[in-house]
Amino acid sequence: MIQVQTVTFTYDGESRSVLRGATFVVAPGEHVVLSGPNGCGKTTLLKHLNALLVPTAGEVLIDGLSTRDRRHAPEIRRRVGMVFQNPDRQIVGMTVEEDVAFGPGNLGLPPTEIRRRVDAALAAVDLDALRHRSPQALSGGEKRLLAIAGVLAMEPRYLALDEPTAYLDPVGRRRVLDVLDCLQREGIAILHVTHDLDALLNADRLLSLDGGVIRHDGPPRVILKEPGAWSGIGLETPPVARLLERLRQDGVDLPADVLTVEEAARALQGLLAGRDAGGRTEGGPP
Amino acid sequence: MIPAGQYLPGDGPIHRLDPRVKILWAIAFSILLFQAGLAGGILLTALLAAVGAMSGIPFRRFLSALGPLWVLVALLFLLHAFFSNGPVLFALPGLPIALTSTGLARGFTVAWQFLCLVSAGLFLTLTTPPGLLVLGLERLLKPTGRLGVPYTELAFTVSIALRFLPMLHETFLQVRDAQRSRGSDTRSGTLPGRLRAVSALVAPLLLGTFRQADALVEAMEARGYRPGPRTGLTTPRFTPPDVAACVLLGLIVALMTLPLALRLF
Repeated sequence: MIQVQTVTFTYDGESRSVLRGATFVVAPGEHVVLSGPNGCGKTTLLKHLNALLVPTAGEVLIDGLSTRDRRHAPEIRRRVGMVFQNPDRQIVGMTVEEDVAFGPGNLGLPPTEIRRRVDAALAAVDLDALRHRSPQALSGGEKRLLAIAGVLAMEPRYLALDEPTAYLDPVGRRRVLDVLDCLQREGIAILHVTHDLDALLNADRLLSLDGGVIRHDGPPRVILKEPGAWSGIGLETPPVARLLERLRQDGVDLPADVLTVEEAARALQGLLAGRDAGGRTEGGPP
Repeated sequence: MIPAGQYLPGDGPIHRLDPRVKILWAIAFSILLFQAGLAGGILLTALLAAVGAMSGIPFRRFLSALGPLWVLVALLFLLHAFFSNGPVLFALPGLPIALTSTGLARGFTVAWQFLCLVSAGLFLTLTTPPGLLVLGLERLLKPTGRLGVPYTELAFTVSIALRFLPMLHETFLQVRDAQRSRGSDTRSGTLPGRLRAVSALVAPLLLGTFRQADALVEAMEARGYRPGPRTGLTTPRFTPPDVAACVLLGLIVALMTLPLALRLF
């Protein structure tokens, strides 16, 4: 379990704290999204989970191991895989498979075990065919998947990702989200920073960070119903939700928790079906 | 785009050789090349051609890997041909330069030496995965560890430097385009203006590079990097063909460096 306990953090030479008592837990196998306005400290918080940053006050425990103890750092980094926002800045290898092998190589594993892990990680993100390519030659989406494969080869229990779908086209974005779903089904807990509505709704829990503290922690749909929740997590209410809200205000009988196009289509079809049935009843059979 | 000299997967005899043997071959070849006479040169060129044929690298791919270096080869040839003393074959009217027979011979030699040197380097990188190349370099440097040389870090630094070059180039292009879009141009205008434009590139380029280096270090740490020995996807293995390659290399070196052999060549 990841336990973040009243974490406060101030960067060296700055007076203002980025984190001011952030507290939450992530259980094994959970899918949690972290959201919040730009500059609220999401990336800083994520770096605490991998022992890249150590709290100024408070505690971060990974399966009971404190990130304060530097001796725990290698084990913590094996358990919590960290994927940064910009894949170009985290690719170390000259070929795809050599990059994936970097983490297991740092663990000092024998070449046969490294080969097994590289094969498994590349298969998990469907990059087997590109294993001998230079990372420079990959598309944006493929680079993100490579960055994910690089940490999967460490066989982590938790995966922390910083906006893994940012700047991707719809195909690349879908591919990354599908891979994350698949990994969660395999039992890896996922904590990812995102502003992507589909990813947000797909998660078990939504954490919203604002002013250095966790403002909301609960099921995404429950949180998003709260007044001001959308702007609090740095998002705009989706147009389709605004449209249905407007129709509801005009007296159209529609459910209040519609957030996606698919849900809106279902609600409107239900409404039309109800009217057709009503019309036929009133008018009698033709 | 795939970089020109990048590893080309294969299963030929050259691909299967231990990277340490290939590195030693490349080093010995480069030294012998500049000491060889005509017969020695022909022998080395024939060896290089044989290695090329055995590597299974398509000739077209090899030529494209040479890429713009052809311009350098031509330039080396022309400079030596026209700027050397010796019997004049053809004088350019009104210019203090002339094509000389000595220059022609020297131009051929230098261009050929350069071409052979680059080809040897290309055969090494085209047939060896970069990771294995670095691991081979690390193993070759291992004896220096006893003298306190941090050989693992040294070899790893080489691989990171190679990885960093395309990133540096990309940052340069981004900064240059950003400056151009705001009216700064390094290609036209007065000299002071162009110097100002170039100096405006330097600060953001340096800053961007430091940021990238910082982020890369952070990402490496996040994946458990610590100074010291690491393992890799493959381990260099010394097999009977490697022994044969080493014996052959020893013979060639002996043949070309023995004083008697030198006189013969």
